[in-house]
Amino acid sequence: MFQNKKILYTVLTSLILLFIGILILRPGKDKNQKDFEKILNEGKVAESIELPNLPEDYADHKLMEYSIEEIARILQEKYGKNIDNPAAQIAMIEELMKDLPKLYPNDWVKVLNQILGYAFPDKALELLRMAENLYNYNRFRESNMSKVGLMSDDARRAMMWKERYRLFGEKADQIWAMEKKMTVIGDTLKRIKESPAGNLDAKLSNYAQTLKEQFGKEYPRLMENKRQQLTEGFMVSVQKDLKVMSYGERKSALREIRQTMGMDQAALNRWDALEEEREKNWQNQQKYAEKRSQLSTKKGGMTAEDEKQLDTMRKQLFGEEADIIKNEEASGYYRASDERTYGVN
Amino acid sequence: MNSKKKNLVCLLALLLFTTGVHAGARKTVYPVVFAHGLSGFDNLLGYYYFGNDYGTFVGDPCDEFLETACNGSISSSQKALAASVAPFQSSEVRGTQLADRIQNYMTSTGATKVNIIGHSQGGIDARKAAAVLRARYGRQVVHALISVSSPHRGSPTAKYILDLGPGVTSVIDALAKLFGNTIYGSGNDGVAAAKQLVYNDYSSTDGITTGMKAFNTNYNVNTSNAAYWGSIITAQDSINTNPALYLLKEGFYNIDGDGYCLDDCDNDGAAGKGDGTRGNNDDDGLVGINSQQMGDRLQYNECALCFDWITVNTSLGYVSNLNAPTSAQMTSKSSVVSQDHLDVVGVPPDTFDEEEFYASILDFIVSKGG
Repeated sequence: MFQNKKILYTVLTSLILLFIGILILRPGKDKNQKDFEKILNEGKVAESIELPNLPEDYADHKLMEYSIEEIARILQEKYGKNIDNPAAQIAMIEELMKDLPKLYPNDWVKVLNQILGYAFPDKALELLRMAENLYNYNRFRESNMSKVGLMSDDARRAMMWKERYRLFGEKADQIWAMEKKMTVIGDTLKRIKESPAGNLDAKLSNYAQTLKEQFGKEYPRLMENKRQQLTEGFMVSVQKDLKVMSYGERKSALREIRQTMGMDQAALNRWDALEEEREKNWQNQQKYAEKRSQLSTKKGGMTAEDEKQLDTMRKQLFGEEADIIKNEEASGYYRASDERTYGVN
Repeated sequence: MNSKKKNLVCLLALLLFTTGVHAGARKTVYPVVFAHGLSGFDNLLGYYYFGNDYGTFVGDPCDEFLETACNGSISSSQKALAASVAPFQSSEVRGTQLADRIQNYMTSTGATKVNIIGHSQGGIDARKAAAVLRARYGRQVVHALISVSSPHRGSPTAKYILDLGPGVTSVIDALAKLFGNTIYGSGNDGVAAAKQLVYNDYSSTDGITTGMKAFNTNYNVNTSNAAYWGSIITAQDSINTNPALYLLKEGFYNIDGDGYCLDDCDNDGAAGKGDGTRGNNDDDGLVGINSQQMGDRLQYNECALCFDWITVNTSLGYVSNLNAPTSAQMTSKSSVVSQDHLDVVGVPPDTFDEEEFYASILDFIVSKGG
């Protein structure tokens, strides 16, 4: 009985010590977090004041060049129409949080509150709460950096979204809208890649439809900026289809993909020429690799004469790139053993 | 307007132009290609390489005032490509892949030339890509080539990992700890990537010649491959260094990258040597300052009240032969950006404004005709 009590007391004492240890050692709140908390608990917003006129050339200058009152006026102009949109809210807060800590290292949270109060008195506390959440989210990212690097993509995604929803609630979906869209596109490409060969047209149509659905009216702008990357992404995903085609079929399929992705006639013509050049290059690589293998595997290895023969062949087949290919081989890299990705290399 | 006023306006305009203080970055003449370092473009320790946490790439321009997923510090008509190559490979492999990606982009867009900004190994890949493109097109294709934190003369970290120094159980494991789990994807060769970043040929018995010294001889600074060459150098004291790099730096190895000698005289994997003082702001957690200058040394001028801008540090001179910089070019801490190796890309923790940093490089490229 005594023995049991002794164990019980030991366990209880250990647990108490552990609890105290956790309390003492848990990461404390920093000054900025305390400032956020204090202002939000007090619920005080900067009193409304009459703001100065909008500076004429404000779009040509950095926000921090202006007085606090002028900044508030510029923010009204810049973000006022969309201030209910969480993506606009976070963009505005980020813009302020980039430079305010540099200019007001000791009390930037208070200055932030003042600016928000002047600019959007009815929303100031909501915006400050969002700034606090963003600050805490960034701290979370920092403290978990090494951990997330070693996670699988799915596990990392789950962890990040859990924290985003915890801090920002449903607004997280709008704040990380671009990431969500790109994730949907990435998942679509992954599904296409994993599907069996065949139905290339349907795959292309599915992909184009996904892009349009995700980006809506932003689609033309997206394509203007990222047409090549998005086209290349699709090419990589349909290699199974492209590999089983004849040269002629493949040429026509590649052209159709590029056309569907919005490339104009001039671009399509340039691509036709490049594809032909690459086809010839790959054939030359194979020819050269066979010769090289034949010379290097013969009894006694390659002679100086053989090296000379290969040099000549490289120059004939690869022109100005011959010396570069020689450098590559000296470092152990042989282009002919690269995997061919149709439409990409 | 009277002539005095006209002169004053002209003077102010000239001042603004020469100091680079103006509204964000001007549009570059040629598109800008961003070349990433080790690890995949869209997954460096779980973060976007040249981007922020919202999935925005620093080269994405804003087309409307209220657009949010874009870089507001660059021109609304800026053209840029985030090129993606094999995460872990030698620069012979990655440089050729980068040349292919650039050729694809030029074919799709009709661009006649490009500028390249390469971070870390991306700056080394860019040199090879510029040479490949020169050979393919029979003319100069790259206008400005800017490297950021690139180990042009090797990194002691790479040799330490290959040597399996204390605390390193395997090359792959060490690279995963530093750069994330993309190393486990197919097509990667972590050993080739590490051998690339050692200055000398790592092994004299493997029948191949690897390392930065040979690579520099083959793909040196060369105005027929690119019209302008410049580099930004990073270093930071240990206390502020990224936790992953800090662990490597303090727990495993100290780079001590601010001593001069030609070649790798102390056999640590990088040209030059240390000065014997640990942690005195002479490396960025992965690369010593004596390894990073290529062409001009560029100075990053941060400004809270105006847009940041880049200038050339003319006092240190130009590194035209990457294997033979001067003592000052290897040891001077002048114009060194006080950030660690991963701060200048999208990895926290930092207060570094990547969007404005790369915007200032774009604007500098414009001033160099690109």
